[in-house]
Amino acid sequence: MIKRYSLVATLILFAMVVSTNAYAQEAKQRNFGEIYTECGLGGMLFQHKKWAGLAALSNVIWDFGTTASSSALTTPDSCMGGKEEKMAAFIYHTYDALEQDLAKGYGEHLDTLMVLAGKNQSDAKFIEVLRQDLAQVIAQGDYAAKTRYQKAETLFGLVEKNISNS
Amino acid sequence: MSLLSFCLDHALARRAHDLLYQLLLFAFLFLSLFVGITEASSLEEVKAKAHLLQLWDHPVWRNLIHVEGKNNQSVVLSDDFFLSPLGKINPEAELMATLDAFYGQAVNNKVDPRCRFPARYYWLSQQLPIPQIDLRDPACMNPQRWQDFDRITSISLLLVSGYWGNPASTFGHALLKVNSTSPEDPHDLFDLTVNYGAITPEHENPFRYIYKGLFGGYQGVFSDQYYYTQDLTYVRTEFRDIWDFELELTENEKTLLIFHLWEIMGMKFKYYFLKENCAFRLAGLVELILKEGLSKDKKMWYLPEEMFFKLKDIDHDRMLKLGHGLVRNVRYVPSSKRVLFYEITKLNSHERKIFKLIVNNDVGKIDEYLKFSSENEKIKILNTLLAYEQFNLVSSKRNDRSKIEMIKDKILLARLQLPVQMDNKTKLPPLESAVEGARPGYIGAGIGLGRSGDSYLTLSWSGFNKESIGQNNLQGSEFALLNIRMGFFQEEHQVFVDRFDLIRILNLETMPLDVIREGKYSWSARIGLDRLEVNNKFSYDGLGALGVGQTLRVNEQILGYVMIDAAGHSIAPYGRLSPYLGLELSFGKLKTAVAGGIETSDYRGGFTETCEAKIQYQINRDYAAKIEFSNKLASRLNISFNYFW
Repeated sequence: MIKRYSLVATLILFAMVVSTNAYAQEAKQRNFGEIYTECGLGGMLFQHKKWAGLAALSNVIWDFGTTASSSALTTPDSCMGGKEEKMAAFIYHTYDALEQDLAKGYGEHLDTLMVLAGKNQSDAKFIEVLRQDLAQVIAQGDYAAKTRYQKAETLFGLVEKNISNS
Repeated sequence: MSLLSFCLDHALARRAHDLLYQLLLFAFLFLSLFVGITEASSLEEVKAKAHLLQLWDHPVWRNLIHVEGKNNQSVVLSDDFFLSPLGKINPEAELMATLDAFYGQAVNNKVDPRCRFPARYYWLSQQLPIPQIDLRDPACMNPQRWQDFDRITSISLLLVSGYWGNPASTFGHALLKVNSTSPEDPHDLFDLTVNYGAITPEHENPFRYIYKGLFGGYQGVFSDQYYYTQDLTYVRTEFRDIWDFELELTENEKTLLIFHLWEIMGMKFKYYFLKENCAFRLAGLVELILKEGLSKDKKMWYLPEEMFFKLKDIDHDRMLKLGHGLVRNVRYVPSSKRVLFYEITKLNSHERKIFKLIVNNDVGKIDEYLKFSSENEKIKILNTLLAYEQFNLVSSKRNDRSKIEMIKDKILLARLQLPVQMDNKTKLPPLESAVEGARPGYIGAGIGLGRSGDSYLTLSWSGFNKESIGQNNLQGSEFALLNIRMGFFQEEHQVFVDRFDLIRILNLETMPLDVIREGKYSWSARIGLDRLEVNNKFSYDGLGALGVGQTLRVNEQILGYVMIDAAGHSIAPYGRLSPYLGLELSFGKLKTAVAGGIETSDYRGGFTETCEAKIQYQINRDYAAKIEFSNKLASRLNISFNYFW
């Protein structure tokens, strides 16, 4: 009897551990660097999975270090259109417009970022905290020397941090 | 009964049975055309019906597999677009193979073919009783994930203005946008856009680029991107304007087109810069749902504007015949440069003074410069400065960037330390698109007057001509390619070339951001042939010229510029300088351009006076009357009547 109960208890315990672990895996968020690498942020521009290896399109001049090429065939399903991945790509590609909007405190790109972050686009408090955080980053003095990747990673981190804190 | 007679009897009986079966089947199918069958029929029945209807000849089927012209050949190069090994050259075989696939007859299909070709399925299911599938079924999740069909509201065609920075972009560009509504996308930045372009290797040799682009050396492909990437590229990097032509389509048309976009994404075609380019292929896509032709054109080229002119014609015709058009709305998206220019002009005199002070001096003293400004003024100045430095960053050379970044960051920090202040959103007066004016080519007939008063007939032709006196949206600039004016019956000259432009450009910078340290210049270029009269004899002067200058726009009607040209001539003196002043006046349909100056006549400082003038009255979109005068050319005066095509 005791052995049977022990077995059942062990099984239940095992199930709990497995499910907790699974939940933990499901909840694990990728950081900006992981999204950039695993998804290849250039590939995030293309949602279509059927074609790959595209070189520059002659009607697109892309001068930001990204290319119009896609590694869509190798893009994992987890990169296809998830909110976090979308936000990372959006921050990376439209960083300059976001910077201007954050400076003013409003704008189309900032509104879109807010919604991607799960916030109301008119959440003045969230916007103000982001502005202050960005001001602190710039005041450190090495902001101009940062690459686009580094700036985007920083902003992504600030957004994620403020989401957790709010 | 002998074995032979048994067999014969059996064979005859069998033959009779088959014949009866075929007759019954035919009758059944014939009746079903009228009665209709709501349940799926067998593959054989469906194929028989397809045969009866000859569906492979239907314009929609031919459009779906991109069969062009009178031959049966598809222009799609990708093998995986076809289900039949003969699909590229035989629409009937492709149709039958598609039906086979829909009935699960195809081999090695990892994806349900109805999900792989939803447009084919969608259209065929309206013609034939084929097995139904819900395209939202998990087996078809990829099309659904690609674009949330429930949120689609409409489809737009986007006209992007021309761009000097890339020869392939000089004549503009066209895109397709799938408009959708989503609370997760408040400004539609994640709307899907479809682009067609050539696949070119990076760092391609320019001569190879031109040669292959003109003669089909590249493959073209459709690609999909979020709208924000197009905004980033065209509006914010290349400083181009966009006009969004939202189409008026039925649900059926919208659905068929969007399903076909899914099918065609990533498929390859041969790319020809002049004819089978972005606009041509997009027009081919949209023709799937239009009864009217959009890509058919007798010209040797198909420019992006061409598609939109045709769109406008269709819209106009539908309005007359049906009471509703094809274009629901046209929305103007100004370039970020145009927005910046407008914002600078909106600064008051104090704000503008401080703005210039900060731009032209040490940005480290920004607080000092802003000391006497109110908080509202500071916010306005800093917002504009930020936009200005961002413009500088994008348009600067790489070795300037770090300095501009530093300046921009100081301004950014100053602005972040001030509160948020919503202002009235910059509402620019909309600029009309090119298709509100005349078409770019023309033919004309007129009378010329020589220097000695003799008159002659003239005929003119232009492949692409946007003059300063024309109805176009170049705001005083000019761009002409292949302009020729022929003369007839002037004294002993029966037929002659009166004037020829291979290329003529006058690029007037009408948005000079004059606060910047480097000046923004206007420029001109010409390669052509002039007919001159020297000592009562005619001669031809071939020339190539480049000019640089500056422009001042006084108001909407008056524009002036100063230019100096340096030119090489085939007649002595072979090198010449020509400084001149230009004035353009625009009063609605009547426009005038005058240019007067001097031209060096030798290498010792001698010069002659030059004067040219032209005036044009646009009668309507298609016709105009024009007068041209020149004191330099053999043709002193030319009066013509032109038709734009």
